[in-house]
Amino acid sequence: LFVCVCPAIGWQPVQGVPSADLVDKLERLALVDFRTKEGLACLEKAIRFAAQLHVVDTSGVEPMDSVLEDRILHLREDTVLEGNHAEELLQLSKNTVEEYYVAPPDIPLTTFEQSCDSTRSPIRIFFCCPL
Amino acid sequence: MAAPIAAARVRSKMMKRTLLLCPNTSFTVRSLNVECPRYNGQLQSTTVSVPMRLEGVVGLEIHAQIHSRTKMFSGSAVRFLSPPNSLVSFFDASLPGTLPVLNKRCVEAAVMTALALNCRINRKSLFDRKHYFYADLPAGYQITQQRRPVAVDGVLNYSLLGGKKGNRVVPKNVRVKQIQLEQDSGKSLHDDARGQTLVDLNRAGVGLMELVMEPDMTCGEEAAAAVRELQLILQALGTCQGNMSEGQLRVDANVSVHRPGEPLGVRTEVKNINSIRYLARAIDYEIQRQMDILRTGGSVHNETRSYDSKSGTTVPMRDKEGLQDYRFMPEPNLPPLMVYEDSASVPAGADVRQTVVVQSLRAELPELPAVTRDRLVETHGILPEHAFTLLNEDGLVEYFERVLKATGREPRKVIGWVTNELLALLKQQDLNVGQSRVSPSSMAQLLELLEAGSISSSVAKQVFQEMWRQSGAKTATEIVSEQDLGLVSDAQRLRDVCAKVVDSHPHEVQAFRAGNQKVLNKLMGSVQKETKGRADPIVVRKILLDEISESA
Repeated sequence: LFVCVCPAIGWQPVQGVPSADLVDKLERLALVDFRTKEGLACLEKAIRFAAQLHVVDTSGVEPMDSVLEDRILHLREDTVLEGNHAEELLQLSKNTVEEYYVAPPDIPLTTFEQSCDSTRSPIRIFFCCPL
Repeated sequence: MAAPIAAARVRSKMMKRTLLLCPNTSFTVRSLNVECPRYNGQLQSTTVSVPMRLEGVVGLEIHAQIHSRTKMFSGSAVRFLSPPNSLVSFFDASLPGTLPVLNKRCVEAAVMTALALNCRINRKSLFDRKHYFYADLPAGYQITQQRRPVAVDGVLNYSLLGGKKGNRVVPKNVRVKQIQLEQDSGKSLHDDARGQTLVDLNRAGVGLMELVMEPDMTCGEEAAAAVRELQLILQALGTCQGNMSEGQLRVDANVSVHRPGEPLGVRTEVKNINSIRYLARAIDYEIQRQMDILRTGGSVHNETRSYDSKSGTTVPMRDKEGLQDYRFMPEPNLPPLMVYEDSASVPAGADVRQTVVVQSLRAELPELPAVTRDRLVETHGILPEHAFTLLNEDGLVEYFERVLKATGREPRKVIGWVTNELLALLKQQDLNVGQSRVSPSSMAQLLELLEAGSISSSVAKQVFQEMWRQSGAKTATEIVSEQDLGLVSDAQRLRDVCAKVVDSHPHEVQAFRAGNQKVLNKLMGSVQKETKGRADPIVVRKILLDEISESA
């Protein structure tokens, strides 16, 4: 299993089954929970699926990163048009304090070794394998 | 070994003492010498004694808040101190279905800044998303320019005041790696008592210019001078108001140490620096800390540290869980940004209001600080270090020029009063030029009296102090007549006093006749004592010489 993604952006090649350390890091970055057996299996499938991109030889070809490259970027005049929706916007949040949003406290993330079963926490999303 | 370190310690003690007296003044860079502290020392704890000549390496990352009416990608207002979340549009709150629309003013600001810093403007630049999770970043990513920024490869020219008396202007420069446009995040206020974080998104989406400098500097003093010059440039351009305490200009320092010629050492990032003064202190502390670690055989960790102004030290920030991976990806909602060199390169049929043309911006650039300094030196014949001091203080140039307009005196005779007498009082009482207790016209009046010969220069200084104390309630003329400080040039009166002095000092007179010229000063001193310092020294000298030769 080998994944090598765009070196220009500085990503590192990943070989073999993702290590516990890497799974930890991925979970922290994505705030997605996939410590279960199913989750890991799904991850491996996803990596293998994406690796198919490297079958194609793209040397000397500029990647297309936008479907808008022929469009002209619209520049806006510097005049105030929006704002003053504080009440409306704050209604969207369950917790507010005096016109401030309240963010949940920093929940310390446990490492892979510390929890073998998946633990749900308010800010993490349980990963469901689409493949 | 001891000398450069001792010099640095003396200098830092001096700085601390002056800063205690004037806690909130802007930082004027003066130095005992322009050589930054170097450590020449021996390893003490190992068996091999290797002389190490370590040098600091400083690179700066500066975020300048763009001075515009609205935010970078939305039409909400940019204002300091507004009710929480009142300047937030649906896009700023990252509600689904909203899209970024780039503010033309932000692009112009970046291009103007790039021109002032001699950068190469990229005709086409691109926007990217930088992903990380934090409470004040509602979208979960920041729109920035990681692949191709709007400008690269510039240089910031600045000066240090060096030499023995701190009056020699030493030109220096630092390379600007790139200037990129990006979004600011909101503000989070940590309420530790209740274990919660309050979020205000007023600042979320405000335009920032990130200026990345190459690590060309070696100490805190150089960094402080460079940032000061950048502040002056940005303020002259109007692209950023440059107020560090209000967060309009944020500086992070990357600090490492190494032996010159060898590869760079491990670097640490120092954050939470709120003024130019703290910038110099934080960098010097960090350089010294790293040198001490290496001296005792340890190694420096690559980490982020925070500057604690109370203790004057840097402390490790909360661990950022190792290297961050920002998962950069192109911003799919924004096409490339095109900046045209001149109107000829603009494609036919393009809307003029939609194009940014470098040539027209270049033509409209205001006068930059370096040009202002040269102009002052040339127009008024003052010294470069005077021009430097004038520009370093907000409003001092205007004060100086207003005094010049109101008096016929030569600029070279006026400059000393502005840069020494006035500035000293302002610094002592921690006031800015706008709060000066003596107006330019009052000072001009005082200088007219001095020029006309009605008062001596030492008396003029006294009168100035009195005018300051009275906060302009009395004019110079009034004070002079009230306290009877006018120069006594009544010849007869002076002759009487001189005769008295000559008669009562036979020894001195003899000594003078024997060839001792210096003793004349003692006689003059006695005359001044008699007349309470109000005798015209030139006249007194002449009369004394006459008296002495007469009675011979």
